[in-house]
Amino acid sequence: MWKKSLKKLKDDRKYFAIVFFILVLLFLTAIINPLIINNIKKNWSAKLSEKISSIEKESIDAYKGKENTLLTVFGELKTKLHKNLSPEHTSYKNIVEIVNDPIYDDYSIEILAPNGRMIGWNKNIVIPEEEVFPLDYPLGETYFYNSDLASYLSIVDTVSIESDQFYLIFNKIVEKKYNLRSSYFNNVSFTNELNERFYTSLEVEYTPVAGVTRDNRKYSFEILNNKNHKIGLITFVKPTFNSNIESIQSTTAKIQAILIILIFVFIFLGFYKDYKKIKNKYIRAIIFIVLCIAARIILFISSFPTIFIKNEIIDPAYFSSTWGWGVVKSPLEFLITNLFLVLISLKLFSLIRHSVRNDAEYRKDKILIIIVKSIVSLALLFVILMLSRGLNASIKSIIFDSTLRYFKEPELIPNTLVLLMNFNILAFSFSILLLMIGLLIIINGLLIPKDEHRNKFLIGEFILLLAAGIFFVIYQRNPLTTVLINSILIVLVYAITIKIISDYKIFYNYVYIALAASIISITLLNYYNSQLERESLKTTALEITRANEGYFLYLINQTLDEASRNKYYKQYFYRSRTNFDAAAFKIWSGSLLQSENITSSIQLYNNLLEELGSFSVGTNRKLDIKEFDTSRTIDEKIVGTIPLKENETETSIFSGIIPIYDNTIKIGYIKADIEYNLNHLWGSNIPDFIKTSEPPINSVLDFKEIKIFELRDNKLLQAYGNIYPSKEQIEPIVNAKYSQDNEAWIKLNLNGEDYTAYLMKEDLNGSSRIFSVLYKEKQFTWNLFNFFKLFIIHSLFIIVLFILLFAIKIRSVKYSFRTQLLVTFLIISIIPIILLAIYNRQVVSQRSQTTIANELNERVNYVERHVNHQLQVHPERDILEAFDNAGKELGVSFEIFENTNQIYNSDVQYEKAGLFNFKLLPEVHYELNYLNYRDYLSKEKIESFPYNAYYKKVNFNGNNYVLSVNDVFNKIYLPFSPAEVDIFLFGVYSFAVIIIILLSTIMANRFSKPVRKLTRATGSIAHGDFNIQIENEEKGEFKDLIDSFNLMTRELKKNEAELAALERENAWKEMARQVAHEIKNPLTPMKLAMQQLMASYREKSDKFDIIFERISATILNQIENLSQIASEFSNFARMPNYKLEVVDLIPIIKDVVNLFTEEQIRINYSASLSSAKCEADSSQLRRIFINLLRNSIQAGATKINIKIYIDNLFYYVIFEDDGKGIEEQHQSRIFESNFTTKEKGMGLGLKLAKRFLEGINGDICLDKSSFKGTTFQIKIPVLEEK
Amino acid sequence: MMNKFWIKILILFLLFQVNDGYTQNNYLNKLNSKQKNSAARNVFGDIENLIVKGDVAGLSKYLSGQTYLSLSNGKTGYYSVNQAYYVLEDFFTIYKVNNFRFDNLNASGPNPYATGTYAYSSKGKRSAAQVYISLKGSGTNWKITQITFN
Repeated sequence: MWKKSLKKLKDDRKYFAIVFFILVLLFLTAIINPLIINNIKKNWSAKLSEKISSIEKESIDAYKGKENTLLTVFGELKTKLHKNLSPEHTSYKNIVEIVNDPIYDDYSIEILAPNGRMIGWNKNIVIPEEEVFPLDYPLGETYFYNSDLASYLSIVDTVSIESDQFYLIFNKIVEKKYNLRSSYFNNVSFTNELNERFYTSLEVEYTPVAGVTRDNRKYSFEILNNKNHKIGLITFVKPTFNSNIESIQSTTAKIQAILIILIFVFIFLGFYKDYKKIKNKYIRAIIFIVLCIAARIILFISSFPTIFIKNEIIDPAYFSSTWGWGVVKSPLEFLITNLFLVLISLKLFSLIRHSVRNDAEYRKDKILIIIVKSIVSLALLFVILMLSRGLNASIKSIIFDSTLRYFKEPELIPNTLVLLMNFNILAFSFSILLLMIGLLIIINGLLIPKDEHRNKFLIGEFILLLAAGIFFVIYQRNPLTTVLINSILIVLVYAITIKIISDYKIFYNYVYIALAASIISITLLNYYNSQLERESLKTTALEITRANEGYFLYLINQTLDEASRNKYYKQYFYRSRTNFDAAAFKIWSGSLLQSENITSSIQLYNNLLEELGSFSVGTNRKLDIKEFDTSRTIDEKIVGTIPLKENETETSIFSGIIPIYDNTIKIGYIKADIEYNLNHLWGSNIPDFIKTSEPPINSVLDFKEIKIFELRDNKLLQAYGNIYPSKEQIEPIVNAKYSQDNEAWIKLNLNGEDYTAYLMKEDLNGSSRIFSVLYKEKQFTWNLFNFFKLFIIHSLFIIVLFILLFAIKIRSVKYSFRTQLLVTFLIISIIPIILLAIYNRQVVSQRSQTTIANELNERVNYVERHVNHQLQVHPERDILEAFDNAGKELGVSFEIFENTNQIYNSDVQYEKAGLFNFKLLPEVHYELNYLNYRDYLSKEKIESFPYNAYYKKVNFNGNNYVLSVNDVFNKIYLPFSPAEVDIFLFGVYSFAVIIIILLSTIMANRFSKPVRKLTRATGSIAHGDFNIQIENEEKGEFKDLIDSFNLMTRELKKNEAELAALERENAWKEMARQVAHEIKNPLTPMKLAMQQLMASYREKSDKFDIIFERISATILNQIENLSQIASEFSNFARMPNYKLEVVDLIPIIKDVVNLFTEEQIRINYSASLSSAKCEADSSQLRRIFINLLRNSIQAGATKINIKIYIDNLFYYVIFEDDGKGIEEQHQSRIFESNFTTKEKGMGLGLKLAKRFLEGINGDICLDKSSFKGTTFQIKIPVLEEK
Repeated sequence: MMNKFWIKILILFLLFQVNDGYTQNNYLNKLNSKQKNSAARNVFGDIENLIVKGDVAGLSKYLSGQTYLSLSNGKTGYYSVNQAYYVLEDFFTIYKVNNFRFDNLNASGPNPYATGTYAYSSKGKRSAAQVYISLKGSGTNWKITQITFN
């Protein structure tokens, strides 16, 4: 028994041993976990020391890693400079090229001449040239340089060229001291890196004077540079026992998740062979589906692989649904669920495809069966409609339960997350369509006959389906879609179903389904997106009311409380060289004021209430400190609403001030202001790079297109957008019919344009307030644009699917004429399209650039003219004052550089805060000052926000300056962004490519059809099937060719028959001669013997008896000879000359099946055997199989199933067709010679087959035959192994 | 027999009418300001308890169709109930509540709000966040329109 068990384990059951082992491990993890925790608890003190050492070592290693990288890159740069700046190579261009090499984009490089003048720099200047000397640290030593907004790891060294020493300053940012909630913000923080790594709080101080703290709670250690000098300090809170436990438990959970998955995998492998042995396809399918569901549940319960991933694909903000207890609660979970859904759908579809017969026979069905079929069909129809509703609901959820805006992605090829969600959408829609098509195939099988009425039934079925779809939408309480969209879905599904039924074998049917899935899913996405847009009007109204007094006061309170608690902010008031503007920016950047995109400002005051610095966004209003009652001392926080002047009814101002104390001494004040105006909604007056990238309503709508009217007591109070409506125009708003919730939806026509408006009414201290949010109704072209935007992504997936299917199929397909045609068509048509797309893109891109340059140039010219005009009219005016006037009067934001230094900036607060460089960019300097170009358009970045800056050389009062205007502060609106043009162009082209692929496939199919027919027919003739005739639907040369072929076949057949007859005649003659000859031989002795016997009798010979005896014996002998000759002839006639050899039945059957691929019949071949070796004549076997298939086709079969299996030393080959069957009275005669029911049949095929098979100890018999089809069983002995 | 049937139909019809009328009377905008304030206070009380328990399912009952969330883990924007459920669940899992209470409550006006302090521990570190929650009347109930954890 043990041996038996062990033997089993050696086979698949070895996997169960592994499962057992993993179970033990799982059990151990459960047991060991508390033991480890107990052990740590007992030895906590030692463990803590170990932990502290480990944190210290790992933190130092992390720092050293940064330092080593810096030193390596610095060393390389020095070598490069030394090599390239030798006198014969020296040129300014060389310096500019080297320091501006993109490999140094993350570094700041400054080169100072021996006299201390900066001669080279790259885009990021950290240390102003006047601050370099005296050096903070010795040459060649790394140290931390602290600017106003960041800390850098820096090094200063010299590069000797000839006798001169140039100073090279090299910095890399390690910590930003501000934080913006914006997708453009590149956060760099060594502190965060360390905090992410350890289960405790760490703090890094980038100064050598920071004091070490070592007490019960905190531990610090020094950061030493490359010369072992202290340059900073890291302090951390000592890990607690609880944090340690949390860390252990988190690790254990991960290990257990992996173990559970492994158990499932090995259990599956253990049963895999048993699964393969199951013959019943339905049971196999059920097991497969159950396994898929089980696998999904296990992955979900064990949180695999979510537990190991820490990026946006597990973020529920991007998509989450509470459906299925959370199996689609994030994009990743949705993907996993989808993959299983696709597998299940494919399995079910394949099962249906191989099981359903498409030939309902009403004439032979009983009424009851017809009723049952109809009821089942109706039930399936209901399931199809419910599946369509499921698809609608899911796509709706994808739009409504997501912050991703599929139609507003700026990039042509979007980020990974959007790609993933698009794949999810396509995969999910594909699965649902597959199931719908599968169910329709079943309905077709039940209802559609295969006779002359077929087309009428198909039309009836389609009308029924369409009508059911329409009623299904109309009579739902909450229809999820429109009649039109549902009808598009039904038409697509039905068209593909008919296509599939007409040709099951086309592998690319899956591409058609994917294409339909894409079209319908994008249509639904677009539809629900427009619903979401409508819904967003309501959200916009909510957003406006959310911004109320209570919330603004909370924001002020929060900002001031946070700032007063921050120990670093306090230090600003002590330091002698504090940049208070930068300090104000830092306070603002970390506060809710920034993340809420509110027009706001921060001011810092000393203890005498004198302003030290400030930062403001979206406003130039200087709210005087006197707004607060400064006559009394401000000892604690004051927050309130500031009363406005009478003419300022549209604006609300909220302000607060908090004193900052060092112990009990007041050292200064921090003040925060908010200015609220409907026109500044969502920070429309704030530069893009500094605000949260999306408006809080998740950018569903283009907020530039939204119009908002606020009515107070039915009179217009304020308006957002470019329309200020008249009294008549607001009447529909006032008179609208409001619901119980005081809301209403109306349509408005303003200035000839149609708008959808959401109205919300509120009672506000006795007066009524109405917010009206309007959005212009979209035109059809926008829907088309949206369609292409997503179709371009879907088409990529579909093309990948097409290539995959092609690659899979290419193994079984020879490089056929059709393939050659297809490839040729594709190459000829796609290459020009790609070239055209690239060309168009370049043209559009150049035009966009030109438009931007022109717009910026125009602004530069305005400023130049304005300043010159001022200086002409007022020669005494200070040039800086003239700049200021120009900026204010023209509303243009600009910078002025003298030599390479900035002397004026109209948005000075950003520069003062340290966000922009004060030095002219090196390549601009090179282009304008060295190459003497007049102007230069540069592409630049602030954080990761890209922008264009236009520089132009100008002359004021005889002095040369460089005037710069950028599109960060001067917004330029292009009719279409380059990305939008890309989407439209590539969308159209990708659509064209898909159409080309489809058309090419159809055309290649069409053109190669006669060639394929001829190839197959020639193959059949080569295998001895002369009955073949090709149906001729062609025209021209192909028609003549096929006619000639058919004539040739007929002639061949006739010749074969004549030849056979001649051969038979000759054979008979030969045989007659042989027979005569052979018979003559014994006859002659017999004749002689008889003559001798007769003579003896006449002569009355006394030896008559003896002679009689002898003669009788001779005659008998000769008669025996004759009998033997007869037997030999008989044997000769019965046993033709077969060529028996070892053959494999499987390839023979496959070869034969391949001969029929062009016929209008579906041949399903299934075998549980990989080979079936026997001793037979392969050409005879081929002839038998061809004969059976030909008989089935002639009997009107549409489907033939061929199965082969082994049983009791015999192979059984089953031919089962769905033809009209053999009439009962003929069934017993089919193996007789010369029996046939066919007009042109000879009645020899089955007779010869039987004779051959019996000759090799096999057999053929008619298993069953009825009007539903015929089944033949062939039995062939298995090859005996010697 | 027939009469009884019609009487039953009439009673059912009246019941529906009464029920309908009751529902309509319960619309927040039909209540006086004292009743509205009291209802808002009760909702805030319930929300406080739910946050203390980290009960997202309970909290999601109060979420409106689109709720504005601004959380200290960077999540900001309007979220549907489905999204908000898992966004808050993730937040409460990472920032485990130690204690929570509202410090300031303003139940008057169309947008009642409350502010409080959320003490939590995350990855073994203890900290606190300031909370702002505001409500808006929707039909018969107060619904959360904004949750800010900063």
